[in-house]
Amino acid sequence: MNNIFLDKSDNTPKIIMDRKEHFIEFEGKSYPENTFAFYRPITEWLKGYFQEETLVTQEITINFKFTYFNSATTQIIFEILDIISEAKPKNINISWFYDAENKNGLEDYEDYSEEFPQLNIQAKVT
Amino acid sequence: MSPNLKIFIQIDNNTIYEFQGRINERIMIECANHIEKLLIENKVKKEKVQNIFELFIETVQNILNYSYNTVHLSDAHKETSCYFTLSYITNQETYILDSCNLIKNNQKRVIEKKINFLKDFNNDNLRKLIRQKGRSKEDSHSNGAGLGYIMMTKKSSSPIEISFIPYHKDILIYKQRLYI
Repeated sequence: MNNIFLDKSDNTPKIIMDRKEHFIEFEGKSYPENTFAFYRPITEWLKGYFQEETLVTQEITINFKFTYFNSATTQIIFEILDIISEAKPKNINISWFYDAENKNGLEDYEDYSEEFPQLNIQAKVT
Repeated sequence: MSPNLKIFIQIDNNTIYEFQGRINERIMIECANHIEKLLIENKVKKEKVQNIFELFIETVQNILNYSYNTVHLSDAHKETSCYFTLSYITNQETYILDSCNLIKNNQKRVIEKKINFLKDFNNDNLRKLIRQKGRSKEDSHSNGAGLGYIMMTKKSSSPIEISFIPYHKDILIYKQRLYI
């Protein structure tokens, strides 16, 4: 499985999916014209990654650092968290970064963390 | 209606930003960035800037996805015509995002149904609905999960106002007003 490194653009985030380091990060704005097509390789990579049994005990870090995302990306984030949740990893650190001056960022964190309590998503102020 | 797009920011009837032309992804990004920059330079609160930016994007992406006269430049890229204004009411500290575009007559019922369904939802109920829709595959299609109007309702400070004007045969002008 190859790593994925995508630079950020005006409407797509920087994405790091590093298999060796077990480090995954999304950073920036996300409103691609065809959101589902853009994220399909990402969700497919995650499905393959979490299918490997050794990852159940491996320490994995996932950071969500979105500064803005459109409604279609909202659905993608649910899909990503569903993939992680189904894999039931034992040692995973998921962080949701948000701007304290924007209450929507905190509300987004609350919605995702309450929907996936088993993932113990941590809130971090940028 | 002019085939061109027009966007301008108006403050107390004084236009401070104007754009005219057809819209596609590239132009949408340019406009969104320009609007964001102008608002930040004018010391508008970050949360307000974010909401205006988000509602602008949701509105334009809806227009690109559902306009009658959208043309597909390629598999992934679309272009259409529409009209926008962003204005500001000083004494209410409220921005108004007006837009209009052409839709097919049968879209009217779909839009009205969505808006009417959402009109009595408070913020907590909208959040629950986003979670429910976000995880459900129902109402899912190639462009999203029907979350666009829910997000727009959540981030607007007043109910979304819509109207439809007959244009030609089964084509309507769809007008939308968002308060931010």
